[in-house]
Amino acid sequence: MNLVYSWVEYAFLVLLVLGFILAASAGSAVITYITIILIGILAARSIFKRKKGFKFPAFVILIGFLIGYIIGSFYGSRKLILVLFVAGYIFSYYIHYRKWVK
Amino acid sequence: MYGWFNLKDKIKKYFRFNQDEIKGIVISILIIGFIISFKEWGYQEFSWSIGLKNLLSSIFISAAVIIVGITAHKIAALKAGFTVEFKMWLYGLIIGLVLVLVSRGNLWFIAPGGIVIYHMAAHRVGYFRYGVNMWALGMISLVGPLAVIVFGGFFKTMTLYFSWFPLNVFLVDKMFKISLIYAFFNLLPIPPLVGANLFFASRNWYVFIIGTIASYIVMLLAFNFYSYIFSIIIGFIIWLIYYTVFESGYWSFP
Repeated sequence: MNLVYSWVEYAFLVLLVLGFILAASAGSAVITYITIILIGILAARSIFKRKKGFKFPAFVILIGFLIGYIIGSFYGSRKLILVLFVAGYIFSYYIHYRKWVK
Repeated sequence: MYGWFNLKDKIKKYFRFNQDEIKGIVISILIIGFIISFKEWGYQEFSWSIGLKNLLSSIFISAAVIIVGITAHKIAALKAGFTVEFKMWLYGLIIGLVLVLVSRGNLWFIAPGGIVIYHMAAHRVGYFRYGVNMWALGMISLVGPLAVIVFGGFFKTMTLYFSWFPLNVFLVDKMFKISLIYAFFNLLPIPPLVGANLFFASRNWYVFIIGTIASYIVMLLAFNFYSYIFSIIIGFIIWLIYYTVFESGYWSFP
C-alpha cells in the first residue's frame, strides 16, 4: 500500500491499535466511561473543525479507533461505551455549533 | 533596540489579557491542576480532604507556572515590538486528561497551548525584518519555557541556600519539578505548542535547548542532581552530535 494514497487505511489501523491499548490499560469501568466521553468530545471537535469535503476520512479513522476501543474494553458494558461516545460527541458538536467553544 | 523606559511604557499600554485568553488560562490551570494531583487523593485509601488539599495546591502551582510562562512571552514580545495572544489547545488538554486517567496518574502530558504574535507597526520601526517573522516568533516562544525554569529554579535555590526563608519545601519541590516538565512539554515540536515555533525558527537552537532541558530533567529525576552548567554542557554535546550527523551533511551541496 502506498502511504500517500492510502493514509486513511494506515491511520485506521494505527488508531484501531491505539484504541485497543487505551481501553485495555483503563483499570476500571468508570475510567473507561470517562475516557470515552472525553474522546467523543475530542472527536466532535475534530470533525467540526474540518471542511465539508474532508470529513469522511476523519469518520473512517474515528470508527477504527472506536472499534479498537470497544474490543479492548474488558471492563464495563460495551453498549454503554458506544452510547457514552455518541453522547459526548453530540454534546461537543452542539457546543461547537452554538459557538460556546471556539 | 529601545531602552527600559520604552519597555515599561509598552507594558503599561499593551500588557493585557483578553476574554478568550483568560478563559483559556483558567481552563488550562484547572485541567493541569487535576492532572498533577491525580495520584494524590489519599495515601492508603481514597480521602477527600487530602485530595482536595492537594488539588488546591496543584491548581495554585499550575497557575503560577502558566501565568509566569505567558507573562514572559508577552513581555518579550513587547520588547521586540509585537503583542502575544495565548491560544488554548483543547486537544492537548483532553489528551492529557485521557492519558492521566488511563495510566492512573503515571503519564503526564502538560500542553496548555501556544501563542500567536501580532505586529505593532509603529513599535517595529527601525528593526531589521520589520514584519512578523519566524525567527522573532521562535525567540519569543523560547522565553516562556526559560522563564518558567528560572522561576522554579529560583524558589528551589531559596530552599537550598536560604533555608531560614519561610517557604514550604514540599510545595517548592513540586513546583520545581512541574515547571521543568511544563517547559519540556511546551518545547515539543507539535503545533501549536511553542516548541514548534522554535523548531521552525532554528533547528540548531532547538536541539541545543531541548537537549539542555531534557538532560537537566533526566539528571534531576534519575540521580537527584541538578546543575545548569552540566546540562548546558550536555546540551552542547547533543547539539554537536546532531550537527555533525545531520545538519552539516544536510546543507552540503555537490
